[in-house]
Amino acid sequence: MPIKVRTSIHCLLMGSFLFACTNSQEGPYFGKTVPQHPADELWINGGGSPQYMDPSLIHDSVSSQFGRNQFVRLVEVSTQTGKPIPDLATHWEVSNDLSEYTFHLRSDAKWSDGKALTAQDIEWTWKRVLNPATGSMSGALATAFANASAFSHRAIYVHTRNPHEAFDREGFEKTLQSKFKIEKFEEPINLSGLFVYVSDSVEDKQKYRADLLAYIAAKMPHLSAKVADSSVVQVRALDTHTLWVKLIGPLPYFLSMLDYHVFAPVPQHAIEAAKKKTGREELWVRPEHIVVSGPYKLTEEKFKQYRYFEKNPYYYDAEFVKTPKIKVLVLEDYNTSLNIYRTGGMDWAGSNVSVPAHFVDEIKKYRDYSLSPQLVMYYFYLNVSKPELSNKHLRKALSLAIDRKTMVEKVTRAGQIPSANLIPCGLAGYTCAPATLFDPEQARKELAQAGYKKGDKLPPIEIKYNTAESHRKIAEALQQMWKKHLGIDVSLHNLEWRVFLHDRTEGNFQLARGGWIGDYPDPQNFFQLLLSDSSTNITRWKNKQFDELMKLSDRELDPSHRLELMRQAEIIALDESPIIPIYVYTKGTLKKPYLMGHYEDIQDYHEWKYMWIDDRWYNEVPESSLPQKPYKS
Amino acid sequence: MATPAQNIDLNKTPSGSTLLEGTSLWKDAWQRLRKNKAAVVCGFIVLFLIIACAIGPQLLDWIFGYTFEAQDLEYGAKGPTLAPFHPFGTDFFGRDLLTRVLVGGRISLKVGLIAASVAAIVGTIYGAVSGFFGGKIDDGMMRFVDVLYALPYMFLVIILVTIFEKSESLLFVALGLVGWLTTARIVRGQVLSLKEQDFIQAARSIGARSHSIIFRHLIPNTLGPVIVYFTLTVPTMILQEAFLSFLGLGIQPPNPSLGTLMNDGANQMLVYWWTIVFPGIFMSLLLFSLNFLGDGVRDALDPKMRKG
Repeated sequence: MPIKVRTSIHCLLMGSFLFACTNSQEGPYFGKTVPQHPADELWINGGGSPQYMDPSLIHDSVSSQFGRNQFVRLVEVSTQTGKPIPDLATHWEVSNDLSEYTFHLRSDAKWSDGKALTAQDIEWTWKRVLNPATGSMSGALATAFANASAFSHRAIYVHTRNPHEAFDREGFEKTLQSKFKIEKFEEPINLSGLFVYVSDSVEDKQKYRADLLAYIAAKMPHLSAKVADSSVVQVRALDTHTLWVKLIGPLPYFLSMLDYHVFAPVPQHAIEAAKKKTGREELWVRPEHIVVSGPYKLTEEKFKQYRYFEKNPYYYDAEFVKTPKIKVLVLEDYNTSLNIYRTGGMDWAGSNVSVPAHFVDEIKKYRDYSLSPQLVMYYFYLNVSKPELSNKHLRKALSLAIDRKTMVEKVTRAGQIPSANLIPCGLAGYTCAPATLFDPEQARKELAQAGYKKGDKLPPIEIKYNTAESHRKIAEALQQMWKKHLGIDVSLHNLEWRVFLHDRTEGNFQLARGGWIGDYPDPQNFFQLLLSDSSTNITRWKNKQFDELMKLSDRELDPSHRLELMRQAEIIALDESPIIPIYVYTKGTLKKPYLMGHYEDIQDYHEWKYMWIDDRWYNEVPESSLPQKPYKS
Repeated sequence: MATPAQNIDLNKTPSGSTLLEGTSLWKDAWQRLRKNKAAVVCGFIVLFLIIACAIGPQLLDWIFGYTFEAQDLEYGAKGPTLAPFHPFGTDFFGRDLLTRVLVGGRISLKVGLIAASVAAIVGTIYGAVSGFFGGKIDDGMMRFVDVLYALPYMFLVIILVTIFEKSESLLFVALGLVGWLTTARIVRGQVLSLKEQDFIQAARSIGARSHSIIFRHLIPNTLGPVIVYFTLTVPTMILQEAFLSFLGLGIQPPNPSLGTLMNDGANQMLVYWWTIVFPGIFMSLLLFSLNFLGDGVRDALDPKMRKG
């Protein structure tokens, strides 16, 4: 009875907005179970505005759905088994040392303009991703290829003019080191000679390299030197349908990695045509220029409103793609999204907006909402290059003073797993390094050790986060926990998604939130966030020992020893705390019961090509035959 | 007229009856205001809200230990209860909503009063100077006002708030600095007519300098309309602060303002109805009363306008 009274007051005051009023009359589903749009379309929410549409550049979750559904990769990681299955490559051979792959591509693969998709396209794409001029943030992934890092860092490639002449490496290194600032020397794979990396401390690297080259040309006539170009990278199209790749080591995750959109071939001819026509290469992803290889193609774009994608008839598997047209809405706000979903204006609420914590208990009651574990971590990145955050004791104090358990139980509320580790423990057999979830006593000690007893004299610290109800709640709870346990005040600053990403990339922040979606199910993918030369190293933290351990693990053939090396690396990273992990995500999915082919996926990529609308659902289905909720809360 | 002054009793008419005590403009206005029941009631409400905002949070902290920022995540969001004493309920983080509404009201009132004062002071001086000197100076100064008028007001504030660090004081300045334009025009109009009057001529003839004419004679005589405009600016400023905070540009968490409270409430109203209802009622009451009071003051100070 009291509930009813409250509900009626509630309805009276809020008027027609409130759907909660009608809860009691509603069925087991949240809102309409008949789509309110043309029958051959599927409407979903894509989240905010994508930063890029070019798969080679994409590194955020909003954009990646567009990359993945428009461009095929060599392999696809099955959401059921987690193992790579053929996609563009029909089969492949691996060398005995697990570091050489030969891929055989399907002969019927075509671009959406009818042109054949060849191994040359893939070679071109991968070298484009590696090229520092392209500016791909995900280039770190591509450094798996032998000699790729030399190309992407513009190292100098030195070798003897006469291939039979011996190369006096030791003498050469000594002479050069006495004259120039050198970061490191590296032996190329499959090539003779040496790579010379110019030190990071040099201001004008281009000029420095030219000086170095001039010096070698003048003093060492028997040597040939040039800035490493794409030809050093050990990726080669053997013929139109065969691709050969040599890796830096036996990377066990290599095949899964190829499912990442950065490795999806992009159309060289279309990019060049767009550049010729408009003068700007990046315009090739506009609906009027775009050429794709995947199941869907962008046909219409309304800024901040929606994007239309139509089935690509040239896609090799097009006959199995069931939905002809997909409309992706641009809605950042979950309240709007929920309302539209409820009235039937959307079939799936998408992976980029999550149900706000205060609504989780309410929406759990409906059968079209389900929770599933995710290969995603919630982090706060600390900008180590800022002097105030360069002290590791302060960073540790901040991390230790977070009551992660309360945070997930009371603030996020969707069954997230609290974690002080950098990766979801148990991933691919990995045993996590010991980490403390919450210890205010120790936190205060660390703070005192950092020289800020009780937060005195601490310079102002600001947390940046992208505008979203859920992130704000976490930041606000964090603010209060630090105040309560450490006595320090931090301020909060919310930013629009693209501005936020920009600030974070440019290092214009002190603390910034972040989520990392595993690109492939291997701990390495989470740890590479902290590699010195990784373009995704947001924290700017550099540690030689950590880099060395990760490098060794990449070359290790024995899987258990490989995991042990990574564990040691994690111990270093946890001690230095450049990243503050909060929890392992769970994903609440809100999708209409008639939407089929939407599979549970730990990376939360849900391929559109499998999705379709089953109209038997709303054409007189008896209630008893409806499936029950997959997740019991 | 020629009779020496000391021979006349000013309180007596020539026929000998006693004169009524003379009234000033202010006394007159006060009497008129007191007769306006709506304005009086609203005045009391405003007074009550101001007192509540001023001492309420301290009392709550004293008696129950509530502060606007201390979270009780275990308790979470619960509806209004008297035991434990949460008459407005608690928010998502288990913070007492009454405390937050009062602190928010305090910040909103502060923003309203300070921003309106900044607007009134800057506008009065600017308008008086412009009107008094006239000619080219007037033209220049008023064209500048026109230019500022032409700029979209809210955008200007948003740009200011975005460029500089977000802080409470910037908010006062940003809102006040663009709110003075209308005051400046009103005062200039008043001064234009006042400066031709005899008492100004008299002041000039005894050699008073410009600034003393402006501050001694002109500004006090324009105060009526300025006060009226001021009372009507306060609620506008509160509303604008709420709007900015609603957009996330005003007061930053954990500090509450009525705008951020209503923003939170609007997001959560499906589940926690009290988080929008109480801040909403509080804000409506405050704005409603301030507007009625402002209307009353205008009627009292400018009876002609009401009749006309």
